[in-house]
Amino acid sequence: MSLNSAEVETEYVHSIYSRLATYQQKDTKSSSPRIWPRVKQFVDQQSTGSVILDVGCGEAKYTSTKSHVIGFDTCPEVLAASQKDHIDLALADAISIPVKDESVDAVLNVSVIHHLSTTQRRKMVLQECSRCLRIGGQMLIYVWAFEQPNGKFASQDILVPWNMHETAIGGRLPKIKFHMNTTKEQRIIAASIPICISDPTTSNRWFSGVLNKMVEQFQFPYFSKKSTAPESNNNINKNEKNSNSKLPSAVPQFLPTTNSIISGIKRWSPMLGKRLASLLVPVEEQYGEELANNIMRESITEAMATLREVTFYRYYHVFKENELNNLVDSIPELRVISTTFEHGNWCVIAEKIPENIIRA
Amino acid sequence: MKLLTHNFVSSRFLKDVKGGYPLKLSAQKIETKDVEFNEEFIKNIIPKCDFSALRSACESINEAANLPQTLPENWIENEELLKELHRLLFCIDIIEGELQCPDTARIFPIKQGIPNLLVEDEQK
Repeated sequence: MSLNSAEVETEYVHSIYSRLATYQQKDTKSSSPRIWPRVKQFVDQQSTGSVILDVGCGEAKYTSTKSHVIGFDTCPEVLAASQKDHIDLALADAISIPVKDESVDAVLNVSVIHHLSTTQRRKMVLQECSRCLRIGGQMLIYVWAFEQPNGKFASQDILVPWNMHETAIGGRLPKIKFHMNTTKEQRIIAASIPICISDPTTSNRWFSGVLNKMVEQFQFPYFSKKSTAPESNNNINKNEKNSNSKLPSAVPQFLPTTNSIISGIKRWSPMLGKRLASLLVPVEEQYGEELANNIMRESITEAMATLREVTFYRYYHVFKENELNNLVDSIPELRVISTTFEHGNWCVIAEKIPENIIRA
Repeated sequence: MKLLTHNFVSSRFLKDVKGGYPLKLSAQKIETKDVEFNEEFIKNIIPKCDFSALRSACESINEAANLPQTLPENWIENEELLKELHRLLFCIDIIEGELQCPDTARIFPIKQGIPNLLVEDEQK
Protein backbone atom coordinates (compact mmCIF):
# COMPACT_ATOMS: atom_id res chain seq x y z
CA MET A 1 0.00 0.00 0.00
CA SER A 2 1.36 3.33 -1.00
CA LEU A 3 0.60 6.58 0.78
CA ASN A 4 1.84 10.01 -0.09
CA SER A 5 4.20 11.56 2.41
CA ALA A 6 2.18 14.70 3.14
CA GLU A 7 -1.09 12.80 3.54
CA VAL A 8 0.33 10.25 5.91
CA GLU A 9 1.59 12.94 8.29
CA THR A 10 -1.71 14.83 8.21
CA GLU A 11 -3.94 11.83 8.67
CA TYR A 12 -1.88 9.44 10.76
CA VAL A 13 0.07 11.91 12.91
CA HIS A 14 -1.45 15.37 13.31
CA SER A 15 -5.14 14.52 13.38
CA ILE A 16 -4.64 11.50 15.58
CA TYR A 17 -2.80 13.45 18.26
CA SER A 18 -5.61 16.04 18.25
CA ARG A 19 -8.09 13.25 18.78
CA LEU A 20 -6.12 11.57 21.51
CA ALA A 21 -5.73 14.90 23.30
CA THR A 22 -9.49 15.20 23.70
CA TYR A 23 -9.60 11.89 25.56
CA GLN A 24 -6.60 12.59 27.71
CA GLN A 25 -8.02 15.94 28.74
CA LYS A 26 -10.98 14.27 30.35
CA ASP A 27 -9.40 11.13 31.65
CA THR A 28 -5.88 11.54 32.83
CA LYS A 29 -5.50 15.06 34.16
CA SER A 30 -4.77 13.67 37.58
CA SER A 31 -2.11 11.20 36.53
CA SER A 32 1.21 12.67 35.50
CA PRO A 33 2.57 11.86 32.03
CA ARG A 34 5.50 9.49 31.72
CA ILE A 35 8.76 11.38 32.18
CA TRP A 36 11.85 9.88 30.57
CA PRO A 37 14.68 10.16 33.13
CA ARG A 38 17.35 10.78 30.51
CA VAL A 39 15.43 13.67 28.96
CA LYS A 40 14.80 15.23 32.33
CA GLN A 41 18.48 14.82 33.18
CA PHE A 42 19.44 16.61 29.93
CA VAL A 43 17.10 19.51 30.80
CA ASP A 44 18.39 19.71 34.39
CA GLN A 45 22.03 19.64 33.20
CA GLN A 46 21.65 22.93 31.30
CA SER A 47 23.21 25.81 33.19
CA THR A 48 20.93 28.30 34.96
CA GLY A 49 19.46 30.85 32.59
CA SER A 50 19.49 28.62 29.49
CA VAL A 51 16.91 28.80 26.75
CA ILE A 52 15.65 25.37 25.71
CA LEU A 53 13.39 24.54 22.75
CA ASP A 54 11.17 21.48 23.03
CA VAL A 55 10.33 20.75 19.40
CA GLY A 56 7.18 18.63 19.15
CA CYS A 57 6.62 19.08 22.87
CA GLY A 58 3.21 17.36 23.00
CA GLU A 59 2.03 17.40 26.60
CA ALA A 60 4.93 19.70 27.60
CA LYS A 61 6.35 17.19 30.04
CA TYR A 62 9.77 18.77 30.44
CA THR A 63 9.74 22.05 32.34
CA SER A 64 12.40 23.86 34.32
CA THR A 65 12.54 26.49 37.03
CA LYS A 66 16.08 27.57 36.13
CA SER A 67 15.86 27.55 32.32
CA HIS A 68 13.35 29.08 29.94
CA VAL A 69 11.65 26.27 28.01
CA ILE A 70 9.68 27.05 24.84
CA GLY A 71 7.54 24.17 23.60
CA PHE A 72 6.45 23.95 19.96
CA ASP A 73 3.82 21.65 18.58
CA THR A 74 1.49 21.57 15.57
CA CYS A 75 -1.50 20.32 17.51
CA PRO A 76 -3.69 23.05 19.10
CA GLU A 77 -5.74 20.59 21.16
CA VAL A 78 -2.62 19.11 22.75
CA LEU A 79 -1.12 22.52 23.55
CA ALA A 80 -4.36 23.93 24.96
CA ALA A 81 -4.52 20.97 27.34
CA SER A 82 -0.86 21.23 28.31
CA GLN A 83 -0.47 24.82 29.53
CA LYS A 84 1.37 25.03 32.83
CA ASP A 85 3.98 27.02 34.71
CA HIS A 86 7.65 27.07 33.72
CA ILE A 87 7.06 26.52 29.99
CA ASP A 88 5.83 28.78 27.19
CA LEU A 89 3.97 27.16 24.31
CA ALA A 90 3.54 28.05 20.63
CA LEU A 91 1.98 26.44 17.59
CA ALA A 92 4.71 25.87 15.04
CA ASP A 93 6.05 23.29 12.63
CA ALA A 94 9.34 21.48 13.27
CA ILE A 95 10.36 22.18 9.67
CA SER A 96 9.91 25.94 10.10
CA ILE A 97 10.78 26.79 13.69
CA PRO A 98 9.96 30.47 14.38
CA VAL A 99 13.16 31.25 16.26
CA LYS A 100 16.23 33.45 15.58
CA ASP A 101 19.42 31.87 14.22
CA GLU A 102 21.96 30.55 16.75
CA SER A 103 20.00 31.84 19.72
CA VAL A 104 19.15 28.90 22.00
CA ASP A 105 21.26 26.77 24.31
CA ALA A 106 19.60 23.39 23.89
CA VAL A 107 16.98 21.59 21.81
CA LEU A 108 14.82 18.62 22.75
CA ASN A 109 13.82 16.53 19.75
CA VAL A 110 12.09 13.65 21.50
CA SER A 111 9.92 11.23 19.55
CA VAL A 112 9.40 13.68 16.70
CA ILE A 113 11.32 12.82 13.55
CA HIS A 114 10.05 9.22 13.52
CA HIS A 115 6.66 10.78 12.60
CA LEU A 116 8.08 12.40 9.44
CA SER A 117 7.62 10.34 6.34
CA THR A 118 10.72 10.91 4.16
CA THR A 119 14.46 11.05 4.83
CA GLN A 120 14.52 14.53 3.32
CA ARG A 121 11.89 15.82 5.76
CA ARG A 122 13.56 14.17 8.75
CA LYS A 123 16.81 15.86 7.75
CA MET A 124 15.04 19.21 7.34
CA VAL A 125 13.88 19.06 10.96
CA LEU A 126 17.40 18.38 12.24
CA GLN A 127 18.77 21.21 10.07
CA GLU A 128 16.16 23.59 11.37
CA CYS A 129 16.89 22.68 15.00
CA SER A 130 20.59 23.08 14.33
CA ARG A 131 20.01 26.55 12.85
CA CYS A 132 18.40 27.68 16.12
CA LEU A 133 21.21 26.30 18.32
CA ARG A 134 24.12 28.49 19.39
CA ILE A 135 27.64 27.16 18.77
CA GLY A 136 28.33 24.59 21.47
CA GLY A 137 24.62 24.09 22.13
CA GLN A 138 23.33 20.54 22.30
CA MET A 139 20.35 18.66 20.93
CA LEU A 140 18.85 15.50 22.39
CA ILE A 141 17.18 13.26 19.78
CA TYR A 142 15.03 10.22 20.49
CA VAL A 143 13.49 7.97 17.83
CA TRP A 144 11.77 4.60 17.92
CA ALA A 145 14.07 1.77 16.82
CA PHE A 146 13.47 -0.85 14.14
CA GLU A 147 15.37 -3.26 16.35
CA GLN A 148 12.98 -4.18 19.16
CA PRO A 149 13.68 -6.51 22.04
CA ASN A 150 10.08 -7.78 21.94
CA GLY A 151 9.39 -8.42 18.28
CA LYS A 152 10.13 -7.52 14.70
CA PHE A 153 8.57 -4.81 12.56
CA ALA A 154 7.61 -5.91 9.06
CA SER A 155 8.85 -2.65 7.59
CA GLN A 156 10.49 0.63 8.62
CA ASP A 157 7.39 2.60 7.58
CA ILE A 158 4.42 1.42 9.58
CA LEU A 159 1.01 2.27 10.94
CA VAL A 160 1.06 1.38 14.62
CA PRO A 161 -2.17 0.61 16.43
CA TRP A 162 -2.97 2.62 19.53
CA ASN A 163 -5.33 0.34 21.33
CA MET A 164 -7.64 2.28 23.57
CA HIS A 165 -8.25 -0.87 25.57
CA GLU A 166 -4.60 -0.69 26.62
CA THR A 167 -4.79 2.99 27.55
CA ALA A 168 -5.05 3.99 31.15
CA ILE A 169 -8.35 5.69 31.83
CA GLY A 170 -8.71 7.64 35.05
CA GLY A 171 -5.12 6.65 35.81
CA ARG A 172 -5.94 2.92 35.90
CA LEU A 173 -5.18 0.25 33.35
CA PRO A 174 -8.17 -1.93 32.56
CA LYS A 175 -8.14 -5.56 33.54
CA ILE A 176 -8.48 -7.37 30.25
CA LYS A 177 -7.10 -10.81 29.54
CA PHE A 178 -4.63 -11.00 26.68
CA HIS A 179 -2.76 -13.81 25.08
CA MET A 180 -0.84 -15.44 27.85
CA ASN A 181 2.56 -15.36 26.21
CA THR A 182 2.72 -11.94 24.61
CA THR A 183 3.63 -8.55 26.01
CA LYS A 184 1.98 -5.28 25.07
CA GLU A 185 4.99 -4.42 22.86
CA GLN A 186 4.80 -7.74 21.06
CA ARG A 187 1.12 -7.25 20.29
CA ILE A 188 1.65 -3.70 19.05
CA ILE A 189 4.54 -4.71 16.82
CA ALA A 190 2.68 -7.75 15.48
CA ALA A 191 -0.40 -5.66 14.68
CA SER A 192 1.56 -2.88 12.91
CA ILE A 193 0.82 -2.43 9.23
CA PRO A 194 3.71 -1.96 6.78
CA ILE A 195 3.19 0.83 4.25
CA CYS A 196 5.11 2.41 1.38
CA ILE A 197 5.62 6.16 1.37
CA SER A 198 5.50 7.86 -2.01
CA ASP A 199 6.93 11.32 -2.38
CA PRO A 200 4.32 13.58 -3.97
CA THR A 201 7.03 15.52 -5.80
CA THR A 202 8.25 12.46 -7.66
CA SER A 203 5.21 10.20 -7.97
CA ASN A 204 2.04 10.69 -9.92
CA ARG A 205 -0.74 11.86 -7.64
CA TRP A 206 -3.42 10.85 -10.12
CA PHE A 207 -2.14 7.30 -10.26
CA SER A 208 -1.99 6.89 -6.50
CA GLY A 209 -5.50 8.34 -6.26
CA VAL A 210 -6.82 5.73 -8.67
CA LEU A 211 -4.90 3.03 -6.89
CA ASN A 212 -6.41 4.01 -3.57
CA LYS A 213 -9.90 3.95 -5.05
CA MET A 214 -9.39 0.47 -6.47
CA VAL A 215 -8.00 -0.79 -3.22
CA GLU A 216 -10.93 0.61 -1.29
CA GLN A 217 -13.14 -2.08 -2.77
CA PHE A 218 -11.42 -4.70 -0.71
CA GLN A 219 -12.34 -5.23 2.88
CA PHE A 220 -9.64 -4.67 5.40
CA PRO A 221 -9.40 -7.37 8.04
CA TYR A 222 -9.75 -5.21 11.12
CA PHE A 223 -7.21 -5.85 13.78
CA SER A 224 -8.63 -6.30 17.17
CA LYS A 225 -7.24 -7.52 20.39
CA LYS A 226 -8.42 -10.98 19.41
CA SER A 227 -6.50 -11.20 16.14
CA THR A 228 -2.94 -10.51 17.15
CA ALA A 229 -1.79 -14.08 17.64
CA PRO A 230 2.00 -14.37 17.32
CA GLU A 231 1.81 -17.06 14.62
CA SER A 232 0.16 -14.58 12.24
CA ASN A 233 3.27 -12.41 12.42
CA ASN A 234 4.78 -13.63 9.18
CA ASN A 235 6.32 -10.80 7.21
CA ILE A 236 5.77 -12.20 3.74
CA ASN A 237 2.18 -13.17 4.38
CA LYS A 238 1.52 -9.83 5.96
CA ASN A 239 2.90 -7.89 3.02
CA GLU A 240 0.88 -9.91 0.55
CA LYS A 241 -2.22 -9.55 2.60
CA ASN A 242 -1.81 -5.81 2.90
CA SER A 243 -0.89 -5.19 -0.69
CA ASN A 244 -4.49 -5.81 -1.68
CA SER A 245 -6.24 -4.67 1.45
CA LYS A 246 -7.63 -1.34 2.44
CA LEU A 247 -5.71 0.59 5.06
CA PRO A 248 -7.61 1.36 8.22
CA SER A 249 -8.52 4.97 8.71
CA ALA A 250 -6.59 6.69 11.48
CA VAL A 251 -9.81 7.06 13.47
CA PRO A 252 -12.49 4.45 12.95
CA GLN A 253 -15.42 5.68 10.86
CA PHE A 254 -18.84 4.60 12.00
CA LEU A 255 -21.98 4.18 9.93
CA PRO A 256 -23.49 7.42 8.68
CA THR A 257 -27.06 7.08 9.91
CA THR A 258 -27.68 7.67 13.55
CA ASN A 259 -30.57 5.25 13.83
CA SER A 260 -28.60 2.29 12.57
CA ILE A 261 -25.83 3.10 15.01
CA ILE A 262 -28.21 3.33 17.91
CA SER A 263 -29.90 0.05 17.06
CA GLY A 264 -26.48 -1.54 16.68
CA ILE A 265 -25.34 -0.17 20.01
CA LYS A 266 -28.62 -1.16 21.63
CA ARG A 267 -28.08 -4.75 20.64
CA TRP A 268 -24.63 -4.63 22.05
CA SER A 269 -25.32 -2.51 25.10
CA PRO A 270 -28.99 -1.74 25.76
CA MET A 271 -28.21 0.83 28.42
CA LEU A 272 -25.80 2.88 26.31
CA GLY A 273 -28.18 2.68 23.34
CA LYS A 274 -30.98 4.12 25.43
CA ARG A 275 -28.82 6.96 26.68
CA LEU A 276 -27.65 7.84 23.18
CA ALA A 277 -31.20 7.75 21.83
CA SER A 278 -32.40 10.10 24.54
CA LEU A 279 -29.56 12.48 23.70
CA LEU A 280 -30.44 12.46 20.03
CA VAL A 281 -33.88 14.05 20.09
CA PRO A 282 -33.20 17.41 21.77
CA VAL A 283 -29.90 17.75 19.92
CA GLU A 284 -31.64 17.39 16.57
CA GLU A 285 -34.28 19.91 17.46
CA GLN A 286 -31.68 22.42 18.47
CA TYR A 287 -29.04 22.13 15.82
CA GLY A 288 -30.50 20.34 12.85
CA GLU A 289 -29.68 16.98 11.44
CA GLU A 290 -26.21 17.57 10.07
CA LEU A 291 -24.73 18.85 13.28
CA ALA A 292 -26.55 16.17 15.23
CA ASN A 293 -24.98 13.54 13.01
CA ASN A 294 -21.56 14.98 13.72
CA ILE A 295 -22.19 15.09 17.42
CA MET A 296 -23.49 11.54 17.32
CA ARG A 297 -20.46 10.32 15.43
CA GLU A 298 -18.13 12.04 17.89
CA SER A 299 -19.97 10.79 20.92
CA ILE A 300 -20.13 7.26 19.65
CA THR A 301 -16.42 7.23 18.84
CA GLU A 302 -15.88 8.52 22.32
CA ALA A 303 -18.19 5.98 23.88
CA MET A 304 -16.48 3.20 21.97
CA ALA A 305 -13.07 4.47 22.98
CA THR A 306 -14.16 4.62 26.57
CA LEU A 307 -15.21 1.04 26.21
CA ARG A 308 -11.75 0.40 24.84
CA GLU A 309 -12.91 -1.23 21.65
CA VAL A 310 -11.42 1.35 19.30
CA THR A 311 -8.06 1.16 17.61
CA PHE A 312 -6.30 4.31 16.44
CA TYR A 313 -3.38 4.20 14.05
CA ARG A 314 -0.28 6.37 14.07
CA TYR A 315 2.44 6.57 11.44
CA TYR A 316 6.05 5.85 12.39
CA HIS A 317 9.31 5.52 10.54
CA VAL A 318 11.37 3.26 12.80
CA PHE A 319 15.15 3.80 12.66
CA LYS A 320 17.72 1.06 12.05
CA GLU A 321 21.02 1.04 13.91
CA ASN A 322 23.29 3.92 12.75
CA GLU A 323 20.52 5.50 10.69
CA LEU A 324 20.03 8.37 13.15
CA ASN A 325 23.80 8.89 13.46
CA ASN A 326 24.14 9.00 9.68
CA LEU A 327 21.31 11.51 9.46
CA VAL A 328 22.99 13.74 12.06
CA ASP A 329 26.35 13.33 10.31
CA SER A 330 24.79 14.49 7.03
CA ILE A 331 24.45 17.95 8.60
CA PRO A 332 27.94 19.54 8.58
CA GLU A 333 27.48 21.76 11.65
CA LEU A 334 26.34 18.90 13.92
CA ARG A 335 28.59 16.40 15.64
CA VAL A 336 27.42 13.27 17.46
CA ILE A 337 28.47 13.32 21.13
CA SER A 338 26.85 10.07 22.25
CA THR A 339 24.60 7.29 20.98
CA THR A 340 22.61 4.92 23.16
CA PHE A 341 19.89 2.31 22.74
CA GLU A 342 17.23 2.60 25.39
CA HIS A 343 14.03 0.57 25.77
CA GLY A 344 13.61 0.19 22.02
CA ASN A 345 14.66 3.76 21.16
CA TRP A 346 17.79 5.19 19.58
CA CYS A 347 19.04 8.24 21.44
CA VAL A 348 21.66 10.66 20.12
CA ILE A 349 23.10 13.79 21.71
CA ALA A 350 24.52 16.11 19.04
CA GLU A 351 26.45 19.35 19.43
CA LYS A 352 26.67 22.34 17.12
CA ILE A 353 30.28 22.99 16.13
CA PRO A 354 31.91 26.23 14.93
CA GLU A 355 32.35 26.86 11.23
CA ASN A 356 36.16 26.87 11.29
CA ILE A 357 36.09 23.31 12.62
CA ILE A 358 33.67 22.25 9.88
CA ARG A 359 36.08 23.51 7.22
CA ALA A 360 39.13 21.88 8.80
CA MET B 1 3.28 34.04 25.78
CA LYS B 2 5.96 35.70 27.84
CA LEU B 3 8.05 38.62 26.59
CA LEU B 4 11.10 36.39 26.99
CA THR B 5 9.68 34.04 24.36
CA HIS B 6 8.84 37.00 22.12
CA ASN B 7 12.51 37.98 22.31
CA PHE B 8 13.50 34.74 20.54
CA VAL B 9 10.66 34.45 18.03
CA SER B 10 11.28 35.32 14.38
CA SER B 11 9.30 34.97 11.16
CA ARG B 12 12.40 34.18 9.10
CA PHE B 13 10.81 30.87 8.02
CA LEU B 14 8.41 32.78 5.77
CA LYS B 15 9.13 32.79 2.06
CA ASP B 16 11.60 35.55 1.05
CA VAL B 17 12.01 36.80 4.64
CA LYS B 18 15.65 37.15 5.72
CA GLY B 19 15.35 38.98 9.05
CA GLY B 20 11.82 38.65 10.35
CA TYR B 21 12.85 40.13 13.69
CA PRO B 22 11.57 41.42 16.02
CA LEU B 23 7.90 40.64 15.50
CA LYS B 24 5.62 43.57 16.24
CA LEU B 25 3.51 42.84 19.29
CA SER B 26 0.04 44.04 20.09
CA ALA B 27 -2.06 42.80 22.99
CA GLN B 28 -5.73 42.91 23.90
CA LYS B 29 -5.45 40.90 27.08
CA ILE B 30 -2.50 40.64 29.44
CA GLU B 31 -2.15 38.78 32.72
CA THR B 32 0.54 39.25 35.33
CA LYS B 33 1.68 36.20 37.24
CA ASP B 34 3.84 35.87 40.30
CA VAL B 35 7.07 34.17 39.35
CA GLU B 36 9.78 33.81 41.97
CA PHE B 37 12.75 36.12 41.40
CA ASN B 38 15.91 34.14 40.65
CA GLU B 39 18.87 36.49 40.43
CA GLU B 40 21.24 34.05 38.74
CA PHE B 41 18.60 33.10 36.17
CA ILE B 42 17.94 36.73 35.18
CA LYS B 43 21.65 37.63 35.15
CA ASN B 44 22.42 34.76 32.80
CA ILE B 45 19.49 35.33 30.49
CA ILE B 46 19.88 39.09 29.90
CA PRO B 47 23.02 38.73 27.72
CA LYS B 48 21.07 36.30 25.51
CA CYS B 49 18.26 38.79 24.97
CA ASP B 50 18.01 41.56 22.40
CA PHE B 51 17.41 44.62 24.56
CA SER B 52 16.01 46.88 21.84
CA ALA B 53 13.51 44.17 20.84
CA LEU B 54 12.45 43.85 24.49
CA ARG B 55 12.18 47.62 24.80
CA SER B 56 9.93 47.93 21.71
CA ALA B 57 7.76 45.03 22.87
CA CYS B 58 7.33 46.73 26.27
CA GLU B 59 6.45 50.02 24.57
CA SER B 60 3.78 48.33 22.48
CA ILE B 61 2.00 47.14 25.62
CA ASN B 62 2.68 50.31 27.69
CA GLU B 63 5.05 48.61 30.10
CA ALA B 64 8.25 50.47 29.22
CA ALA B 65 7.93 53.26 31.81
CA ASN B 66 10.67 51.94 34.11
CA LEU B 67 12.91 50.58 31.37
CA PRO B 68 15.89 52.68 30.15
CA GLN B 69 16.38 53.33 26.41
CA THR B 70 19.44 51.11 26.35
CA LEU B 71 20.82 48.56 28.77
CA PRO B 72 23.18 50.45 31.13
CA GLU B 73 26.70 49.11 31.50
CA ASN B 74 26.32 48.41 35.22
CA TRP B 75 22.99 46.57 34.79
CA ILE B 76 24.29 43.50 36.59
CA GLU B 77 24.65 45.47 39.85
CA ASN B 78 21.36 47.33 39.52
CA GLU B 79 18.96 45.26 41.58
CA GLU B 80 16.00 47.48 40.85
CA LEU B 81 16.54 47.08 37.13
CA LEU B 82 17.03 43.31 37.48
CA LYS B 83 13.70 43.05 39.29
CA GLU B 84 12.00 45.14 36.62
CA LEU B 85 13.53 42.97 33.87
CA HIS B 86 12.35 39.90 35.76
CA ARG B 87 8.82 41.30 35.90
CA LEU B 88 8.82 42.16 32.21
CA LEU B 89 10.37 38.93 30.93
CA PHE B 90 8.78 36.35 33.24
CA CYS B 91 5.66 37.73 34.88
CA ILE B 92 3.80 39.37 32.01
CA ASP B 93 1.79 36.89 29.98
CA ILE B 94 0.20 37.92 26.67
CA ILE B 95 -3.12 36.06 26.58
CA GLU B 96 -4.84 37.59 23.53
CA GLY B 97 -3.07 39.59 20.88
CA GLU B 98 -1.07 39.50 17.67
CA LEU B 99 2.44 39.16 16.36
CA GLN B 100 3.23 40.79 13.04
CA CYS B 101 6.10 40.01 10.66
CA PRO B 102 8.09 43.27 10.21
CA ASP B 103 8.93 42.38 6.58
CA THR B 104 5.66 41.01 5.16
CA ALA B 105 3.12 42.41 7.67
CA ARG B 106 1.71 38.93 8.03
CA ILE B 107 -0.25 38.52 11.27
CA PHE B 108 0.11 35.64 13.71
CA PRO B 109 -2.67 35.56 16.31
CA ILE B 110 -2.11 34.88 20.01
CA LYS B 111 -5.06 33.08 21.58
CA GLN B 112 -5.39 31.78 25.13
CA GLY B 113 -1.73 32.53 25.65
CA ILE B 114 -0.54 30.50 22.65
CA PRO B 115 0.81 32.24 19.51
CA ASN B 116 0.00 30.46 16.27
CA LEU B 117 3.01 30.48 13.94
CA LEU B 118 1.82 27.72 11.62
CA VAL B 119 1.76 28.55 7.91
CA GLU B 120 0.81 26.66 4.76
CA ASP B 121 3.67 24.89 2.95
CA GLU B 122 3.59 27.25 -0.03
CA GLN B 123 4.23 30.26 2.25
CA LYS B 124 7.47 28.84 3.65
